[in-house]
Amino acid sequence: MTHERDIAKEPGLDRGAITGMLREIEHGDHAAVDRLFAVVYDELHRLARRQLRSAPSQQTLSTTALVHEAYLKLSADADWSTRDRYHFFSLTARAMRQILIDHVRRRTRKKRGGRDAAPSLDADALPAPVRGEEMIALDDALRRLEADDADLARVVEWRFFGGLSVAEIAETLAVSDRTIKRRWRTARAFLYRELSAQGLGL
Amino acid sequence: MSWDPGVFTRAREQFEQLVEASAAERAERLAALTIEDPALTRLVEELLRADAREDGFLERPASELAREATGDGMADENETLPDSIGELVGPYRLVALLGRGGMGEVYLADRTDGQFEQQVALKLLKRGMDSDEILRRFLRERQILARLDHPNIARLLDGGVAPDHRPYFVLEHVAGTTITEYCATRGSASMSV
Repeated sequence: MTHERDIAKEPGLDRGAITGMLREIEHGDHAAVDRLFAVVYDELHRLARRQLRSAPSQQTLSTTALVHEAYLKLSADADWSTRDRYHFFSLTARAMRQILIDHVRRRTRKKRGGRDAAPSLDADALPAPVRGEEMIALDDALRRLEADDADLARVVEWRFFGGLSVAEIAETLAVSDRTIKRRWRTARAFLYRELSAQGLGL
Repeated sequence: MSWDPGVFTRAREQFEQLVEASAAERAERLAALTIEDPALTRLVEELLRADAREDGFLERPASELAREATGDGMADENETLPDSIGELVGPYRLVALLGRGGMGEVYLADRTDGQFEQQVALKLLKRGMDSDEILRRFLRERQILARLDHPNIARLLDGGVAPDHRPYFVLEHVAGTTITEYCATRGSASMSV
């Protein structure tokens, strides 16, 4: 498979080290979480840049593709347990969230300093695109939801930021699809309610 | 958020039960709950309203929204993307590129079927942008335009699908300056004293 060859050619990642870090995490080594997060974060960042270079006309950066590619790569010759997958998805979704929100924060700040308030009358003004402020408000609302109910917030982080499917989330958390769908719906209601209380339409 | 944990849990429970219930049952139970705990009832009602939103941006991937919010990739894209000048789209020949946005290109086009002499503005979905979501938004824009009828808004004349399956729509072409040019020249005129 070409994919296998691509993986073999990729520099930098020692897959044995990844599995080692997962074992350390399993044994309660919190520092290993940070180390693995750094690896996953760099990997996703690199994959994102490559995806943008190879398909410049593609508007949408596909999180799902990125996370799956990272998963295939990092788990290539290790037999990951459900527990490993849990740690891995937690870290990738968190990393994707951080990459995207940091990016939006930087851009939104930059725009505010320059031309921002002017109404946009370009060809695509009609469908009312989501604004950076709203993404940032959502990130804040999700952080508060995490404090109230980590299970609800996790589904949003994994699905919305991490691009994982309901089935993948359900399998990794060892619960039914129905449970995940219900958590998603409840989390969404709390988040939308919070945003509309702040006057953000979205 | 950051509720009293008891409030959060109760609101969640009530929401999850009521969201599955029929409208009648929902109204009945909310009425009963109001007597018992009006504040909780208000919160649950707000959650149910939030659930009913249809424009939910959470249904779209965060990465897509992030790109939309930051407008990334578009500046570079505009320089490198090939245009479709000279191509025939329905009865229209594309004459010149008037502009590009995030998902579409607007061309000056001539009607070629001899029905009547007319130059029009033709908006065509960008190549490679035919994801369901983009397509839906493009068609929605077309629909909204079809409903608008105002002397100061360019009228929607026609719409269809190009030979390469990209949807398009046709607006009357209004020759003039862009709003930014207009403002710039007006601005400089009034300031060049």
